[in-house]
Amino acid sequence: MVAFFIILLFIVVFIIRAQLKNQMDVLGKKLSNTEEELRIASDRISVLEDENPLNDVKEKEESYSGEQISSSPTKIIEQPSYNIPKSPSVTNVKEINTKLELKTSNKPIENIIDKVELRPTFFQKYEKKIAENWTGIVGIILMVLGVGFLGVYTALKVSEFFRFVMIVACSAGMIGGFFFLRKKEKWIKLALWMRSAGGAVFLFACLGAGGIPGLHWISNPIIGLTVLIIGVAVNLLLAVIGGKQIFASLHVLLALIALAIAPQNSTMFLIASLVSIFGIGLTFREKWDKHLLLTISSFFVYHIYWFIKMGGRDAFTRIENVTGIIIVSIVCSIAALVHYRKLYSTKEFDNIPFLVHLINWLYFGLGILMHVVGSKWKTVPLFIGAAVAFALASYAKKLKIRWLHCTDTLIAQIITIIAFMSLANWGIGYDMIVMFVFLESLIYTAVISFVKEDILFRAGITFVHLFGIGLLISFIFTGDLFNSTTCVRQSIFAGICSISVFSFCWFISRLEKGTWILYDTLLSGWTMKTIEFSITGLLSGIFLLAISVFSHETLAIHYALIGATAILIIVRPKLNINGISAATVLLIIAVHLINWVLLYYNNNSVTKEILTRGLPLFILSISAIKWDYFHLKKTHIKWFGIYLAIINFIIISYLVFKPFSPLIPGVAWLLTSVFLLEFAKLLSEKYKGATINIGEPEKYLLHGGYLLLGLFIFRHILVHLQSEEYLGFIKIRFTIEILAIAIFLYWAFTKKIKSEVSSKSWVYLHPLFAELTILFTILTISIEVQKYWHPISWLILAFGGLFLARKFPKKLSRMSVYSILLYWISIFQVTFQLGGYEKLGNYWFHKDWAIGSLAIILQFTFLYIFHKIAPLKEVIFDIPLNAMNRFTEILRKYEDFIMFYPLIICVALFLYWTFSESMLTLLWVLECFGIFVISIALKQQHFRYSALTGIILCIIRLVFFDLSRSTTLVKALVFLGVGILMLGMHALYNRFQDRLFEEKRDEVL
Amino acid sequence: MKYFRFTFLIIIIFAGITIITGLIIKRSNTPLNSTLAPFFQLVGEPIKAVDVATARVLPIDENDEKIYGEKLASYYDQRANKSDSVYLYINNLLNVISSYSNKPFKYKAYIMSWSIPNACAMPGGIILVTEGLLKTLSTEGELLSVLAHEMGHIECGHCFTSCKYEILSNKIDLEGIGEIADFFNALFFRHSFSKTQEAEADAYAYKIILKSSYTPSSVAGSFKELLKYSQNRGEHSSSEQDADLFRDYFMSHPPLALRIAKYEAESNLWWKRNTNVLKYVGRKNIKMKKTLKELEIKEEWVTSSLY
Repeated sequence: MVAFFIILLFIVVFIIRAQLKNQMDVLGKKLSNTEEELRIASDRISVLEDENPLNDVKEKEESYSGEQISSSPTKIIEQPSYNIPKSPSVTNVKEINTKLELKTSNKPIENIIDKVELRPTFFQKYEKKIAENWTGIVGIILMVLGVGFLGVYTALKVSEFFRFVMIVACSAGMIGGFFFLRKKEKWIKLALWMRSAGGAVFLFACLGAGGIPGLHWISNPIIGLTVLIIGVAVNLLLAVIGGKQIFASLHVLLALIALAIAPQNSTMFLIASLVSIFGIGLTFREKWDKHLLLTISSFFVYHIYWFIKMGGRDAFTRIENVTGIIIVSIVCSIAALVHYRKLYSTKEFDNIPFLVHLINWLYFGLGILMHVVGSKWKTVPLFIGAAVAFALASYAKKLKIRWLHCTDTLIAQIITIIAFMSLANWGIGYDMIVMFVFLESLIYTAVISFVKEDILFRAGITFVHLFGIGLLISFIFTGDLFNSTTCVRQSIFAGICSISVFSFCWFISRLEKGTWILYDTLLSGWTMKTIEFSITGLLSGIFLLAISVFSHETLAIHYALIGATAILIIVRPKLNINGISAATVLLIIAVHLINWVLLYYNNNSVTKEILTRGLPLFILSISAIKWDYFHLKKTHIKWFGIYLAIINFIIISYLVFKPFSPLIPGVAWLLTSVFLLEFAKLLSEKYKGATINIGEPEKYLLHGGYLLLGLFIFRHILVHLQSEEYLGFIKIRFTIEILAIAIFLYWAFTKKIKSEVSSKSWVYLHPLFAELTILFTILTISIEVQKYWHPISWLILAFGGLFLARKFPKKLSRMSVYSILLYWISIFQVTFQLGGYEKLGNYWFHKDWAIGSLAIILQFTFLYIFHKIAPLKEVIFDIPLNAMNRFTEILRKYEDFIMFYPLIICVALFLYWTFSESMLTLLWVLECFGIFVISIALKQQHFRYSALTGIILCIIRLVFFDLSRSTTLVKALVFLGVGILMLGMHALYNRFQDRLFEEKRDEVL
Repeated sequence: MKYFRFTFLIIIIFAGITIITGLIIKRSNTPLNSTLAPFFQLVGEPIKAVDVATARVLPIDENDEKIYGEKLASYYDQRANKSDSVYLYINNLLNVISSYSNKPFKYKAYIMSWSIPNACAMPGGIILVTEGLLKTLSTEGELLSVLAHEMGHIECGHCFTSCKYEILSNKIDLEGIGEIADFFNALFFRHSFSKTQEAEADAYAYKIILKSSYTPSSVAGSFKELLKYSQNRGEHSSSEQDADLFRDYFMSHPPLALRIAKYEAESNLWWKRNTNVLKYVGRKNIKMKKTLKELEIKEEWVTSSLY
């Protein structure tokens, strides 16, 4: 019942709001019309002033006196006095006609202004009302009180009967006054009030005679009641003959007050009901809505008063309660019937009768509520009541009373909802009741759509939305995922609702070209700004989703759901209801998520179960790819299906392969990425030159490939790196790494996809595959190759980089920069790390000096090749790495320094840390000799200076260190060696002297 | 080019399918569900390289480390009971492997009276072993592999780099400053390559074991015993099966499960390649505190990883 009143209140507020809005619009229009009229009038005045010959003369005088020549008067007349819209609508045409009439009638503007000013103000309006009516009412009340006081005053002087007679005499006097004054035209109003006052005083006397202390002279209650009834009857008679709402209301009110003062019992309630019915009956004469409101409100208040006085619901017997319900029903029904007359026939929305009617229904509901005893049988009268209300609504429609039709239809719907809710007393679950209400609301709204009454349709849609959400909430609160019975039951409910909602959506989308579906939006279009989004469409998907939640473990339902979702995907583009599209998307995601979670957390899942559950999900993603047109966006959306299929593949492959070996999923993803790449290329070829957008499938397939590769790397770091097992004599991890490098290379060397749409990922992401390959190779070498061999490995990689830069100068010129980095790392490791490693190699070449020497030879070879081919000249870093161009510029500028000196210094250090001190001078001189040779080859003076400085330092060491510490043999060997090398240097110096100074000459030139 | 590409594609697919088939047949598993420890171990390499390079450029060398170690040894010598059978046993065992050393140190081992199984290495050839470790390990080979692991820290220069500033400050008579510098170096950088150093020491230990008469399964065996010990104490939980960014980064050692898997795989491969080769276990030797040289038990010689 509370819900009933809340809903009722909402409807009232909404309707009043709508009406006020309408009124505001009308007032606004009127105001704008008035403003327009004023504007036209002023234009007219100005035109008339222009047409005035006196003005012409004046103007001419002015123009003659001034230097400027004025424009011709004809030109002024030709100008229109108002603007006519270029393509006038019907309203505009009316406005124009009005304006034309105004123009032709020459109505003086003062009249219009006067009209506006003569409208009564708020204060004036209510002052008039108070003066005309309420002065009379208050006057009568005061008079009755005065007579009462008189009775009290005479209490000790005369007996009760005489006091009664005295008051009756007063009453008679007043009525006599009426008869005296009624003939005088000026006093007729006073006469009428005096008559009413007489009736009121008489009623007071009658009431006092039966029960008021001081006036009480009748001891027999039946006689007392009879006297009171006489008093009431007299007043009712006066109400009839009064001829005005005010007198009718006054006497009915007085009669009910008198009855309330008297001792309360069932008879008194019956009399009060009869008085009210009589009062209501008076409204059948004319359109007395205010009187009707006062009468039903008085009866309602009296009913509450009587109810409390009698001791509340518990004090009544069952029959008394039923009688109470019947009496309330009769009074309110009669009051309701007042409006079903031709008198109320209007197309407009009549506010006062509408409110009175609605309040009557409110009193009706509350009155019944007071006597409700909790019987489950109340469902039957409620349904009957709903049917009656619906019949009354139809009758109101016949009578062409629009507001009444709307009100009663809504009331019928509300009573139906209450009737359904009362089914709880019959032991029916709340979820089922809400489902019934929801389905009924759907049917109601569908039926209402034929009536074409937008308020009712919107209200119906609101009910559908509210109870649809309510049903979902009831599923949440009453659902139990561990109780199979509840799950089956709620799955059935959700299934029924889903089919119903879907049918409803389909039905209203076809009605009047989908006009009504516009109200199926958030807040049902009650707000000014509506979002074109079908809530019921969304509900259809959510109900299917509910089935998925409740019956996710049953494979048959899983298949059925996939089938239903697939159908939804297929019909969705034809229906063109965005809510259904959203629901479909939601449903597809949810079905996938539920099944993924189910498979992931079910540790006992076997391959068969994973496949039987997971593979059918591809039907949905493939369907989403095929039927991908979205009307709202006016485009094909392929990414959704493609991404979903790829993610599903990732999860299914992970779950299927992981039990065999956790290393397989990563390899499977790696391989699949190649397939996606090839597929993307194939599609790109197929749709080459396509003029329409077909959803860019190749782009999203490529994204899928990137995702798979990303996941592989992620899994490689987290899972593969820890694997130490062998497949035969090769480490499994190593085989995977080699495969990954091969696949990265394959991606890196793939020619650009021809389609235009994929250019972004191709520009920003794809070039990085070369870097990815290098990084992954470095990672693989770091893990798989013994540390001894790292410096040599980096150099081999650097050679590879140089080769690629040379072979693919346009695409991979940057590899030479990475080669330099690798070369530096190699130098660093030879110098600082190689000597630090534990020396436990099984072979002689595992010794640091052997590997270091080999590495240095390779480093010099690299240096030589690098210098020869000079790859830095051609290096260009493209968009994703163009910040590296600055770094390349620095490398280019100081190429000799950064390439040669690190190696020279590090070789010196390597020699120092690796070889015997006694041999160091010889080895360093050998290095200086090498630097000298370089200076000749490169024609670089600074190398020669460095070599000579080194030689000087070596000679100093030879003299001060080797002479004093070394043995004779070593001394001999060192001195011999140094001597030969220096002689060699001398010979070279003389042989290539010209070449050595060539650089200087070049500089001078 | 087109045909080359196509051939390459076919090779890739064939290789991929072969790997997958091989994995399905082998049912290869990983020690943990997921872990970041090997990755962090790898990331620690360049930082460790810088640390090593810093130590190399400082004017200190192995001789300075030796002096430092001698000071430490004199401290522990004063507290050690040199007639104790355990002390003698450990040092005899250490002598077996110290012959492989490339450093000019006299290796010495000392017993610490702690119940927790642990061992640590100090610069200059000092190794500390707890009594708990001797109780936890079940074979002489396992004990030897632990000693070899600690020796690896010294031989690979981990101990030297960890106190390089202290050695330097001692050398130039500025004691105290170096310790602070070492402390901050450890605080800011050491955690990044600690696992890398431990892996290096493991690799060293394995190489030593291969060169010795003991079974190569001893390395994995010692880790298994340590894992068993921590499992009995309830220190291992199932959550360690999955990667944890912070835990995996800050852990000083690689997870025991990974170390076991690695050296089990290595020893299995060794046994595959070296069938009928006899290797010693030393189960009774550790109980009797007699080294293989002192007491050779025939039954302790095995020809497979199953001992």
